[in-house]
Amino acid sequence: MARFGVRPDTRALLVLAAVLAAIPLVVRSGYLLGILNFVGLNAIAAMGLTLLMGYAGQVSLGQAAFFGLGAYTSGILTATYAVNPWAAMAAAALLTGIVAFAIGTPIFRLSGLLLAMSTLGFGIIVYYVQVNWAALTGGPSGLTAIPPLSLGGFRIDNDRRFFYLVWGCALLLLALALNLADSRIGRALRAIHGGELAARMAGVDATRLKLQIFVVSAAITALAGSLYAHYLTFINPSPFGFGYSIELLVMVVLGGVTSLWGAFLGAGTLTILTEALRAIMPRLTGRTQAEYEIILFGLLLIGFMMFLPKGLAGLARGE
Amino acid sequence: MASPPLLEVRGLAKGFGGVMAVNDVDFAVRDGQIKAMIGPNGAGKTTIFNLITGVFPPSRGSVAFRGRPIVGLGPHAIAALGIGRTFQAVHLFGEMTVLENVMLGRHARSRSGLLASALRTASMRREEREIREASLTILDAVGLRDKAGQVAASLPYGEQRLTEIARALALEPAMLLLDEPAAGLNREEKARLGDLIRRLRGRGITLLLVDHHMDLVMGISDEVLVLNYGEKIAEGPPGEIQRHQGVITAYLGDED
Repeated sequence: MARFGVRPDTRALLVLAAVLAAIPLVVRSGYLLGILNFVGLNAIAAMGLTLLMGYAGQVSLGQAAFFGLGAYTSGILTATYAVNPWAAMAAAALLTGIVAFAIGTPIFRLSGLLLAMSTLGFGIIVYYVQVNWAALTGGPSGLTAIPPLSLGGFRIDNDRRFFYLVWGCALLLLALALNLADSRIGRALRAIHGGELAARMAGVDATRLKLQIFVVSAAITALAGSLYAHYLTFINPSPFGFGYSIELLVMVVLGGVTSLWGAFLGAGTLTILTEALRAIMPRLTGRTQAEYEIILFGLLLIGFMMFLPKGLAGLARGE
Repeated sequence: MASPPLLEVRGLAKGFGGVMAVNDVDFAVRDGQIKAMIGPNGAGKTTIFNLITGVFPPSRGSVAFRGRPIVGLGPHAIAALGIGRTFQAVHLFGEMTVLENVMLGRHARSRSGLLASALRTASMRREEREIREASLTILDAVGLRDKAGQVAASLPYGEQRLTEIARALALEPAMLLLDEPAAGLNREEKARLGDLIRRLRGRGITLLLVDHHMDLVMGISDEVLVLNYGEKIAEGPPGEIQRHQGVITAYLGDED
């Protein structure tokens, strides 16, 4: 909010950028960089949900579907139709935004839990389309040979190169989202969250603004999905199910719903915890297939809702 | 009386599940007037405010602002036409600062959209400065400039009420609807509120207010409208209303 000089968020962004830029120089392990790349992807998707939940006060239980739509749009356009990957990525965000607009237009005229319920249903539909429309999506086995992104002949085809891409995108989107939060639109969103009636009376077209943010949230999540597809170069429906929508929700709650930085904290914490659990639990229990992270998600969700409603970001601010 | 009144309400009615909260009410507010609406609890005063500001549609009747029908417009569109409002129970955005609350009030008078805000374009930054300066000027006018940076919920009640009025003023309203602005205020604050209302009228703002404090209402209003069980039972200058037998029976008789 400072009027002169560098704003505090800008300073924090620059520090984070410097730290991130140095990581691949120090961390040589492809496995660790891979995990950090997933943190980046999750951070982008979680930030999309934070804009919706923390700023417009709306809950979506179908973010995985937007992520999946982004991944499949990119995958189908590039692997099947040989479209340029960057163009495919733009198409993925645009198409997903249009889909969100179509869902949101009737929903935001009404209120309450309708968005949560309809996005839940939408997520299930998208998942089954991905599994069953094999001619387009490759069915349960998915799509392969998705080309990586490249910059002027420089192919972003390993963990180290992708690290710079995904974190560059994440920081850029964070900077834009922080700008948005500290603006006329951001104030209006927080006002809707604080009391929709009073916001409307003050001249805020709450219906339109919620729809806009829902579309932005979906498009950001689709961008993350598109990056994911070009990073792994193969996709199948299983990561884009209801479980991932919940995972994103837990990240947002964990980090602090009303903080964009919280989305990064939540994504980092949950992604690394899940990975650690997957590495440790089989050694403790001898079972390799059990999904203990579901229990972890549940406990974290309950614990944070009850004891740390402002999440890790609130804790960091000393609240 | 050639030009139409600023606000004209005709045959306004609203039923909630068979109970008529407002029944066939007509009245007009002329430009520059201070008009008060009084009546016992449940008389339909707040319902009329909600009907004027588009919170819900009337069952019957019309509302015209500057001769233009406004029934069917959304609350934000009605606000943008220049009708500001405060609430019976303070509706501030508690976690936002006093200044941010007032800045929000300029939403309808500014235009930077989502993209311009995300990119912090030059025109967005210029507009943001204008919003801030106009809001600080308004806080000066209501005497809250030194509280600008405080979180709204941390203010004492009387100052929260003032902040809400400041937010409504940021809209640059032609007309301001105040719903029990004196509720919960002490004697001194009430006197200051009366001064503020007169000052607002001096700046060309037309006021329609609902209040139970007869000293305030009778002291500042040009006209008083009395409601009972959703119907208008009297309308006229304060002196006349105080002598009106029906009003005394319905309402004033119970007061103090």
